[in-house]
Amino acid sequence: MNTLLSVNTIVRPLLTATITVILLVSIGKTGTVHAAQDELNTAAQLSVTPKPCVALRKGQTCYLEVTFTWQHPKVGNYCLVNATTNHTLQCWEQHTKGEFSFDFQATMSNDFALRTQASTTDLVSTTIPVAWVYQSSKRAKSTWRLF
Amino acid sequence: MTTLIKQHHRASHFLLASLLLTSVCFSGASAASDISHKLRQSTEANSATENYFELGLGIATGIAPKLTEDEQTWTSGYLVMNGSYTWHNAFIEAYGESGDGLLLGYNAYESDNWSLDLVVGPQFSGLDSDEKFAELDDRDTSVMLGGRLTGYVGENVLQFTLKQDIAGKSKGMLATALVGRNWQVRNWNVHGLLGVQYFDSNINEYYLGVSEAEAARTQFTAYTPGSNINYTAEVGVTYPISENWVFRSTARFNTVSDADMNSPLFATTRSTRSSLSASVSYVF
Repeated sequence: MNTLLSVNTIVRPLLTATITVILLVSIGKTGTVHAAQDELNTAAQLSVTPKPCVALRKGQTCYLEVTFTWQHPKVGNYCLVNATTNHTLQCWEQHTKGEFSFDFQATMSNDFALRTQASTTDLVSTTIPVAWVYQSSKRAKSTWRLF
Repeated sequence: MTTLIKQHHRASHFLLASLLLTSVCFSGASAASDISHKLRQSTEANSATENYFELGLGIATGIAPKLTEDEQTWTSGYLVMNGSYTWHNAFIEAYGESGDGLLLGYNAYESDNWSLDLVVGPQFSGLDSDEKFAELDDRDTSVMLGGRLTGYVGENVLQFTLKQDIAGKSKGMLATALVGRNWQVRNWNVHGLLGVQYFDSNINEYYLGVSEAEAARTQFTAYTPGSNINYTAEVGVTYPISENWVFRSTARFNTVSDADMNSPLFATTRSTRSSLSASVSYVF
């Protein structure tokens, strides 16, 4: 019994310490991986020119020929996605950069993102703002007042 | 504001005099007033532009009958002052492209597709201080009160106006009927407008007539015009340069009736007048 007790006394702290070390190491490694990934994502770039898109009146469709340029430090399969409509505009395989031109048509501002193919996570994003010169609003309904 | 806007139709103050006197004729542009604004801004049925003010500069060229010059063509710069302010159903508006000048109004009725405004504002102007007209009686500005019915029928905007002078100057009455529509070609807003205007004999007589008393003391012969009808057509584009800058260009064509052209006040006569203008405005 005494022997068993002494084994427990010695082995248990050792096991606990080992598990703790393993956990700490694995957490450390995961953190490092995430940090590296974040760094890569931070280094990813996406820009669009020109902007903003300006319509005459609020609610009108705004038209603008735009060009997206993106780059990512890691070779991969990437897609340019309209995050507002969730519509994929273009995908590239085994690329670190790309360019894409298209005819933007919208009544409101749209967000665009670079995503890893088949992923829904935005690596980097940008916006095409839609602005307008004149606000317009529906007049309040009324009835005959004077006649 | 009316004067400022009308100035763009004038090559000089002589031309200004002509146009002031013949603003009846120019009412082709005037009558386009709010409908022109609606068409330019491509507003939806029965929607109103929120309160705004804009200032701009433009240049215009054209050909028109004149009171004091032989040369019928003209080119001139002009100031654009547009704006509107609505408080409940009352509003004040001034649209440079209309030539209607400052207008006070009250929206009396509104349905999905029709709107009736009661409007009042100065219209038409007196003779300029040109020596040629020094001995003539003054032609003062009329204050026109009336109704403006605007309808949205399909893609078209209709506008009917009936106004009467309440200042006791011309004591005249005018009626207009206009139809227009707009198209959006990418960010360009294109509009077209056709119209007809009726001016009663009181307006024509006050602004274009020459009384026996005036004829007795000047070289002008006495002239008593009747009523007349003019037709107008307009094509314009409006383009948003940025959130605060707007470009406009308008080509306008008006017929000029015999009632106008038979007036001895004119130095040169034409059966039509036309103009082409372009402006850039800053929207506050």
